[in-house]
Amino acid sequence: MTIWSRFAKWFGRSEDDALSIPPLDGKLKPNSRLDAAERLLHLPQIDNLALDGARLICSSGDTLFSVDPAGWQTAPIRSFEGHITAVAVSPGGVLAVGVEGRGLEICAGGAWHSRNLGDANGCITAALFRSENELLVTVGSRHHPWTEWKRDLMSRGASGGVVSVNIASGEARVVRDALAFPYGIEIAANGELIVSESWRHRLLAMPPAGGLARVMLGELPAYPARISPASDGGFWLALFAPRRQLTELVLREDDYRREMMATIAQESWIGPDFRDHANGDQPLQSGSVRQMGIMKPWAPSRSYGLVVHLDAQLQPVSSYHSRADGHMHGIASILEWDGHLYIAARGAGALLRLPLEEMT
Amino acid sequence: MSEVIVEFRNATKSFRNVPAFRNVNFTLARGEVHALLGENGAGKSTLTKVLAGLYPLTSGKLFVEGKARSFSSPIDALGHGVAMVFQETNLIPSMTVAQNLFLGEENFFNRLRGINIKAQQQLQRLSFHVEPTALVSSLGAAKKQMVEIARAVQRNARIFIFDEPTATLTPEEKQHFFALVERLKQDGNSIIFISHALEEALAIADRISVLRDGELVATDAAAMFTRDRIVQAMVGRQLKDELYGEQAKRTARPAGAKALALENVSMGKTVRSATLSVFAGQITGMFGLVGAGRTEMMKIAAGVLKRDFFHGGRVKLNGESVRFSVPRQAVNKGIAYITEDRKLDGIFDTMSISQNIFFGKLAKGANPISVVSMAQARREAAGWLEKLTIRTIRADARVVELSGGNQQKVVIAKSLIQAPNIIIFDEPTRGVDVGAIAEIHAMIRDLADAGAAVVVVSSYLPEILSISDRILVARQGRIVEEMSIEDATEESIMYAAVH
Repeated sequence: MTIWSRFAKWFGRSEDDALSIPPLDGKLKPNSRLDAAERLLHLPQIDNLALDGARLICSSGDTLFSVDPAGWQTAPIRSFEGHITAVAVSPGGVLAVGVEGRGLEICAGGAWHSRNLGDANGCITAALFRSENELLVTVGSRHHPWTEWKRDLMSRGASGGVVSVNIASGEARVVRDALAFPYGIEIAANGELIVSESWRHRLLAMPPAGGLARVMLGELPAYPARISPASDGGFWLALFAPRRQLTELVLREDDYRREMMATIAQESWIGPDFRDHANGDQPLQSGSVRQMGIMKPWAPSRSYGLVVHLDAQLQPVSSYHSRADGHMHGIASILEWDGHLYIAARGAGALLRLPLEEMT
Repeated sequence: MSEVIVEFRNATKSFRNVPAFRNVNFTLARGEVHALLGENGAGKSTLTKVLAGLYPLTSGKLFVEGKARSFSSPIDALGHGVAMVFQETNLIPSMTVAQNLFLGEENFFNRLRGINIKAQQQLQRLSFHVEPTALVSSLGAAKKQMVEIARAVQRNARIFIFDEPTATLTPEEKQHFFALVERLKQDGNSIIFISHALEEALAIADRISVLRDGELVATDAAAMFTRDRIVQAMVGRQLKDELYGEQAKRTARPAGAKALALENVSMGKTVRSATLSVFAGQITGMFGLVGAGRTEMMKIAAGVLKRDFFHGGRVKLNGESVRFSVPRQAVNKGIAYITEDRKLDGIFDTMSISQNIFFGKLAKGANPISVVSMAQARREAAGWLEKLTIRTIRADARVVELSGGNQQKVVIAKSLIQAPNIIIFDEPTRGVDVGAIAEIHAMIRDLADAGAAVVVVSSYLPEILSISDRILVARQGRIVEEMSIEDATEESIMYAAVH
C-alpha cells in the first residue's frame, strides 16, 4: 500500500468507496429476449405469480387474480385492504397472501383468516411453504411499508429478516434478522434457505433453522427480487432494477439523500425503479440509450428487465434482458410451469411467456 | 524487368559459422515493390540488414545501382539512398516526434518551432495523425511505426526497406500506408517489404521472394503466387486454414469462474469507465483500434499502470478488490502481462536467453534469499527452450541475436515460468512468422484448456476470430461490445470498433 493510500484511508476512504458497478457480461451479457417474449396479458402492477394446483394465480395491486390459460383472461379471486406483497400456495392447497399493513391472509379449506406479524406486517416481500403448517416469509423492512421500499433503500435500511410462521397457531419465529431488504426465498436441495438480499445485491444461503449465512452469489449488477425453482435443479432469479453509478453516488451522499427524501416526491428520487415513468421530471433516463454513438453515463436509466437462470450452486447459466431502450422492466416474479417460463414484468404491467425448449 | 538497383549475388552471412542465409541471389528493380517472405529466422531481416549497413556479408557480393558495395554503417547506407524502417522501432522515447524525425539532420542553430512545423507538414503529407510535439514515449506502437516510416521518407532515400511495417497498424492506417508505398513507387523508389501478412504482400507487391532456412526458395511475380503457394514455400507444408480458418468448426470453451473484473475503471482520458470480466478456462479476445485503450486496461489489471486515484473504479481478482502499486504484486497474485512492445518492456536484449527467462522467476520472488544459481537458470531455461521450440544456437546466446518470433517466445517463457493463472497476451504474434504464430496459438489454447484465464489483445481480426472464445471490442477507452464466437464476424467486430 502506498503512503497516499494510507493517507486517504485515514480520511475514511477505502477500496469499497469506488463507485463501480459489476459488469453485465459473460453469462449476464445483455440481450433483448424479454422484449421478444410472448406477452400474454396486460395487468398494471402485476407482481406475484403462483400455482394453485393447475391454476395460475397472480396479484396486481390489492387484488388476487386467477388466470385462465384459454384466452389469457383474468378473474378476481379476492381484493384486500392493502397491496398484495407476497403470495404462496402449499402443496395441499393452502393459500397465503401477504397484504401491506395487514400481515398474512391465509385461505385453508375455503375459509380466510388473518395472521398478525406485528411490525413485519407492512413489508412481507415473499412467502414459501416449507411444510403444510410452516410458512417462511421474508420481511423487507420493519420500519417502512412495502410502498415505501425506495425510502428503505435511501435510508440504508437493514431491518429485514426471515420469519417462520406456524399456520395453525400463528406463532412467528425469527429465523434471521438484520437483512437489507430480503426480497425472495427458496429452499435448496440440501434444505438450506436461499434468500435474495436486495439492497446488498446478493444471494445468501443459510441453515434451515437460521444462523450464519454464506454469500452464494454476490456483487450482482442489479437488485434481486424473488427466486423460484427451475426444473433442472437450479433456480430462476428475478432482478427488478439495475444498479447504476449515479444511484451508488446518491447512496453515499447522506446529506443529499436526506434532502431529496424530505423535499422531492418519491417517484422523482434518483434511484432504482420498476419502470421508466417517462415524465418531464426524469428526462435524464434516456442517457442509457446510445444515440448517435453517444452514451451518457451521468444519465442512466433507473429501470431494466433481467431474469437469470442459476444452477444448483447459484451460479449464472444464462440471462434474459430488457435493456434500457426496452419496455419489459421491473421483473418481480418468475414461475416455471408446463414447459414455459412465466414472467411478471411489474414495470410494464405484463405477463410474459418464454418456451423452455428455446431457452439455452 | 526494369533496371536492377540492388543485387545480392551468391550472398552468405554467418554468425559464428551458423549461416543466417546462404548463396542468396536476389534482385530489386527500380520502381518495384518486392515482398520478402519467410518463416521466423528464415534470414529475411538479416538479408535486409546487410543492405542497410548493419552487417557485412560473410561471402558473396552486394551491388547497389550497379556498383559493389559493403556498407559500414546505416549512415553509410543512407548516404547511398538505402533507408530501413525497422521491425522494432528505434526512436528515442524521451524526445518529441519532430526531434526524432530530424535527428541527425539538425541545423547548427535549431528552432524548435521550425522543426515542429516541418514535421507537421511531413506527417500531414503522409496522412499520419501524429502530434509532432508529443513525446515518443507517450505514443502507442502504431504511432511509433508511423514516425519511423515518416523518418525514412524524410531522408529522401531511393531504396526503402520496410520490416513488418503494418503489424501494428489499424486497417485504416494500413490503407494510408499502402497509398504511401504506391506514391513512393510512382516516384521511382524501390521498396523491399517484409511482412507476415501474406494478403498484404499479394496485394501490394510486384514480385515476391520466399526465404526458407536461409535459402531463397522462390522468386516470382506476385500474380504468379497464391496464398497457398507462398505458405507452402515458406514452411514446406500445407497450412491452409490451420491458422485462421478454424472459427466455423469450433465451439467456445465454457466459461469458468470469474477470474478478473474491471469495474468502471478510469485512467485519465485513455480509459474511461471500462468494465469487463475475464473467465477461467476461456480465451477472451480483445479487439480495438489504436487508441481504444485496450492495452492500458490490461496494464491497469496487471499493475503496470495505475488507475485514477479517485473515482478510478475497481479491479477485482477472484471477487476481491485489488489495487496494485507495482507489477510485482500482480505477478505474485498470478497475473502475467505479456507486452506488445517486447523490445522496450519484454526483454533485456543484451542478456542471455536463460537469464531473461529466469528473470521471470526472480520477479515472482521465488528466491527470497537472493542467491541466484546460474546452473538452475540454465536448467529451467533449457526446459522452456524445448517447450516453446525456441530456435537458437545455444541457451546462453543473447536475446538480441534472436529473430522476432523467437524473442517473443522468450518473453512468453519469462511470464509462464511464473505459473500464472491469468495470462494477458498483448499482440502475441506481432512481427512473428506463420510457423511461430501457429505454435504460439497452440500454446495459448493449451493454457486455456488447462483452466487458465487468458486474454488476447490483438489488432488482427482473423487472429481474434480464430483463437477467442468470446470477444470484447474496445472503443474510446471502454468496452462497447461483447460477442460470442458464434455471432462475431470481421464486419460486426469492426463495426463495433468504429461506431
